Amino acid sequence: MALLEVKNLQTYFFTDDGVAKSVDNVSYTVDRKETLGVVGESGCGKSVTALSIMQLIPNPPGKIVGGEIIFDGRDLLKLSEEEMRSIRGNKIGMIFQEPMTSLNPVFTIGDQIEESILLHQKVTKEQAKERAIDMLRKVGIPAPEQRYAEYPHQLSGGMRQRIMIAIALSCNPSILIADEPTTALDVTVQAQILELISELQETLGMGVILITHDLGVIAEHADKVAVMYASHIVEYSSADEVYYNPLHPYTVGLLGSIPKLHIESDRLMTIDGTVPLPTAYPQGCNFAARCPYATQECLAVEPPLVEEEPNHWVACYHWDEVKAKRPEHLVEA
Amino acid sequence: MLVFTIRKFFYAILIIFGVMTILFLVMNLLPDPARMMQGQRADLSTQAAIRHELGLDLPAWQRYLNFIGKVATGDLGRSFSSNRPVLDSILERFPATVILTVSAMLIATILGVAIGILSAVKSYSALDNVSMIFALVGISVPSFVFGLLMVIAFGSWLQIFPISGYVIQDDAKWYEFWAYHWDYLALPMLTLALRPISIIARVTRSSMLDVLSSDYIRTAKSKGLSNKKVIFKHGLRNALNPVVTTVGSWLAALLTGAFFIEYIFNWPGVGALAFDAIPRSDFPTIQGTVLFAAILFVVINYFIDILYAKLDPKVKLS
Amino acid sequence: MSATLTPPPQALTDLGQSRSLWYYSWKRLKRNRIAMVGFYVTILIILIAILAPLLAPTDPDVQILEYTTKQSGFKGNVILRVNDIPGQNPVPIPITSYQVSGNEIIMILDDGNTKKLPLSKLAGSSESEWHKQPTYVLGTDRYGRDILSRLIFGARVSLTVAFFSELLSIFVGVILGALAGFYRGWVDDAISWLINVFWSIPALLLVISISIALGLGFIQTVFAIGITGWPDMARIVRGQFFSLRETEYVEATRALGLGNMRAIFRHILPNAIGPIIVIATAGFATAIIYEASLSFLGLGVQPPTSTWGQMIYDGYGYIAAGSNWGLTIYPALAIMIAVFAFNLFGDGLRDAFDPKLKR
Repeated sequence: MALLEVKNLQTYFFTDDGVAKSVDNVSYTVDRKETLGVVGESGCGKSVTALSIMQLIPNPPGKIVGGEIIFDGRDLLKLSEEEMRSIRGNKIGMIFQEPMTSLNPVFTIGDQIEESILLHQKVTKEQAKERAIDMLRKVGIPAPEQRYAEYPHQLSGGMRQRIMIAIALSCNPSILIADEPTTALDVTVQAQILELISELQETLGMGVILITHDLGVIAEHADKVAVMYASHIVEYSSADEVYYNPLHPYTVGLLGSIPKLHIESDRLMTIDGTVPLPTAYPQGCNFAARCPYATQECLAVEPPLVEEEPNHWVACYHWDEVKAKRPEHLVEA
Repeated sequence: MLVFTIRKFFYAILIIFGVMTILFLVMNLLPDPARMMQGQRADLSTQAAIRHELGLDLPAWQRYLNFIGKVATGDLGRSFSSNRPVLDSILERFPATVILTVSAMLIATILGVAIGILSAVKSYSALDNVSMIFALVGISVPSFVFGLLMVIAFGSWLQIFPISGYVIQDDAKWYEFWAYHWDYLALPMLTLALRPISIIARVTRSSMLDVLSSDYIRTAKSKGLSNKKVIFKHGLRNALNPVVTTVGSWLAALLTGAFFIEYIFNWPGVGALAFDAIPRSDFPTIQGTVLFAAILFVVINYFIDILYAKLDPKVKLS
Repeated sequence: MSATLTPPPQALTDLGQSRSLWYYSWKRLKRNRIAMVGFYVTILIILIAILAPLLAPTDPDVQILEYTTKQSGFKGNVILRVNDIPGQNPVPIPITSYQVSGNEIIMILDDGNTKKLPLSKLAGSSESEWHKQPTYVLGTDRYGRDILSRLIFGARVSLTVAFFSELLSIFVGVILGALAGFYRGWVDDAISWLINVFWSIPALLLVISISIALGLGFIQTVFAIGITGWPDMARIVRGQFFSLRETEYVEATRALGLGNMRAIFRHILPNAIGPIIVIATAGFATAIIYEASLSFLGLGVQPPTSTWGQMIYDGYGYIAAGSNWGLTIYPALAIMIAVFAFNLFGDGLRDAFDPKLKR
C-alpha cells in the first residue's frame, strides 16, 4: 500500500474563457524513501496536481472535480478543511519555485520556521526554537543561531530555498512535494539543493514528489518518472526505463531535444507545433496534432494509460512503432 | 539621514517659492484693486493714493520681491472688509479646521480599513460589490453636493443634527467644546470623511488582494495555518503599508479640502473665512488663505516624508 | 536521417487569430456590466446635451414670475405673444382662460384682470401654436423657469466646459509629461517641480482664484479649470514615458538606428494611451464638479445660461426654509449621476486596460 496514491484526479478551472481542464485523469503513487519525478512543460498540469494534493487550489476559479487522493489510508479530498490543515505542513510539506518571494518579509527566519512547529506540535517556545535552529543546521545554513534572528531579505536565493526546506520539513512530514525547487536558482546552487533534498530523504525516510521541466534533474534524482503532457500522464515508469526505453512519442521528442556531448549532430530534434490550449483540448489524443505516428484512431479517441511493458505505462496506441523507430543514439547507455 | 532631511527641506522651500510665484502671477491678473475697493464713485486721486499705499505703482519685479518679503515675515496683508491682518484671522480659525480634519480622518481610517479588509477577504461576493460601489459613489459625489444633501436630509428633514456652526465662548476651554457640541461636528465631519473612507477602503482592498495572492501567503497556507491567521498575521502586516502612505498623504489634502465643507456647514474654520471673502471681493483674504493652505500642505508633507524615511530605509535612496 | 519529427499531413489546430490589445480591452470592458452601465449613462447624458433644444419642454431662460416655485407636475396655461425684440423667443402670458373674438383675443389673467391683444401679435397662426399648456415635470424655480428644461440645458454647459477644460489639461499635461519622462535630467526636474507646486495648492481654491482673477465667463472658466488639471495628467504621462522608455522594444528601435521621434510615437504613445484615457475620464468628472462649484459660488459661467451649480445656489435658500427641496436636489442629483457615470466608466476602462486582472 503506497504512502500516497493519486487516483484519476481531475482539477478544472472555470474561467470566463471557458473551462480549463488542467489535470484530467491523473494517477500516480509515491512510497517511502522513493522519489517520483513529474516532468512536463509549462502548463501541462504538474504543479496543479501537486497543489491539488495539498488542496491549495484557488477556488474560484479552480475546483477539484473528481478522483481520489489516498494518504495514510484516508481520501484527502473527503476531509474537512480543519482536518486538511493538520496535514499541511505536518504530514505533507511543500516547497515552491520562487524562494525570493515565498518568505514573508516582515517576520524573521526563526519566526517563520517556529510557526510551523508551534502549530502542529505540543512543544514550548524554547523547544520550538531549539528545533528551528536544529533544522537550520540540518539544511546546511552556517551560523544558524545568527540566521535565526535575520530577515529574509538578508539572505540569498539559495539560502532562502534552504529555509523553505527547513520549514517544510520541520514537522517530519512523510511526503515532501518540491515544485520546481531549483528553477529559479543558479546551476551550482541547484545541485546543492537537490543533494540536500536527497540526503534528508534518506535520513527522514520521506517520499518525495519532484516536479520539474528539467530532464537532467530527473535523471539524477528520481526513482520513478511520470511524463505529463497537456493534463494527462503520457508515460509512467522507473527513471531508467523512461530514459533508456521511452515508448511515447512526446518522451522521445523530449529526450531528443537535449544536446548530448558525445553525439555529433547538426540540429537538435524539435517537435513541430504547439501545445493546445487547456480550454480547447481536442477530442482524441492531445498530442496527435504534432505526432508523426498519429492515425485516425488517435484523433478520435484519447488513448488510455496502459501497462504495455512490465511496470511501464504509456498512453499511446503506437508505442511499439515508437519503440521500433526511435533514433538509436537516444537510447545509448 | 541628515542629508536627506536637509535636501527635502530645501526642496520644500523651492516649492513654497513656486507657490508664491504662481499666486503672485494670478493675483496680478486682477483688475485694479484700488478701483474695486472704492467702487463706482472712485476719483482718480484717491485711487492713486490707495495704489501707492498698496505699493501697486511699483514695477512688477519690485512688487514681487516685496510680496516675498512680506510673506516671509508673516504679513499676508490686510483684509479689505475687516481691515484686520489676514494672518491673525487665519490663526484664530485654524483650530476649528484642525478639529474637523482630524476627527474626519480618524473615522475615515477606522471605517475604511475595516471595509477594505472585509471586501478583500470576501472578494467578488455581494458584500464586496456593494462596498466597492459605495466607495465609488463616495469618491464621485462632489463634497459640496453631498454636504447639501446631508443638510437637507439630517438638518431639515430629520432634524437630527444642527446644520450651522458653533460659536466659541471667549473663556471656554477647548475640550469643553468636545463635550457639549459634538453634534455640530457630526455632519461636516461625516461629509468630509466620505471621500477618504472610500479611498482608504479601496486602497486597503486592493492592497489586501495583492498581498493575499503573493507567494508567502501560499507558503503560510501550506504550513496548515488557519485562514484567519493567514489573513491577519501574514496578510495585514504587509497590506497596511500602502494604506499608511495613503492616510499620511491624505492628512494634508484633507486639511485644505475641508474648506468648502466649512463654508456649507458654517463651521468657523479657515475655509469659511476664505469662501466668505469671495462675494466680498476681499482679495487679500483669499490670497492669504490660499497661500497659508499651500504652505501648510508643503510643511505637513515634508514632515510625513521624513517620518516615512525613518520607518522604511528604502525610501531614502529614491 | 531527418533531425525533426515530421508532422502528419493534417493541419494543426487553429489557435485563433491574434487580436490587438484594443480588442481584448474592449471585450473585458464589455464583460464589466457595471462599467457598461456607466458607459451607457454617459452616452445618454451626452445625447441629452446635444439634443437639448429638442428635448427640453420649454425655453429654459423664459421667466414667468407668476409661476414661481411651483411643485412638480404643475400645469401651466399660457398664451405666447410675439416678442418686441426681433429674433427673441415669444413671451408667455399666464392666463386662466381666454376667448377669441373677432381680431382680438381676450385673456383672463391669474390675478383676475383682463388683457386684450390683437391676434396679429400672437406667436403663430393656429391656436396650437400660441396656446400652450406646458407641464412642469419637475416644477419651477423662483423665476418660474422650468427646472427640467434648465437641467437639460445645464447638461450642455457642464459637458462643454468639462470637455474643453479637460482638452486643455490633456494638451498641456501630455506635452509636459512626455518631455519630463522622456528626456529626464534637468527637464524632468523642472517639470516635476512645477507639478509639485501646482499640487501643493488646494485645487478648488486655485480654480477659484484664477477664476476671480480672469473674470467670469465661459472661456475664463474653461481656462481656470483646465490649467489646474494638467498636473494629474502630466504625472501619469511622465510615469509612462519613464518606464516605457526603458523597455526592450524601445531599445530595439534605437538599436535599429531609428530616431527618438519614431520611438515616441510608434512605441511609447500607443502604450501610454490607456492610462491617459483613464485619467482623462477622471479629470472630466472632476471638471464637472469644479464647474458646478464655481457657479454655486457665483463665479464661472454666468446667468442667464443655466448651469447645475447655479441652480443649486438658487435653491439653497429654500433649504433653510424647509420647502422645495427639488430646487436643490434635482441639480444635485444631476451632478451626482453624471460624475458617477463617468467614474464608473473610467474605472471600467482602467480595469479593461490593465493586463493584471484580479480574477
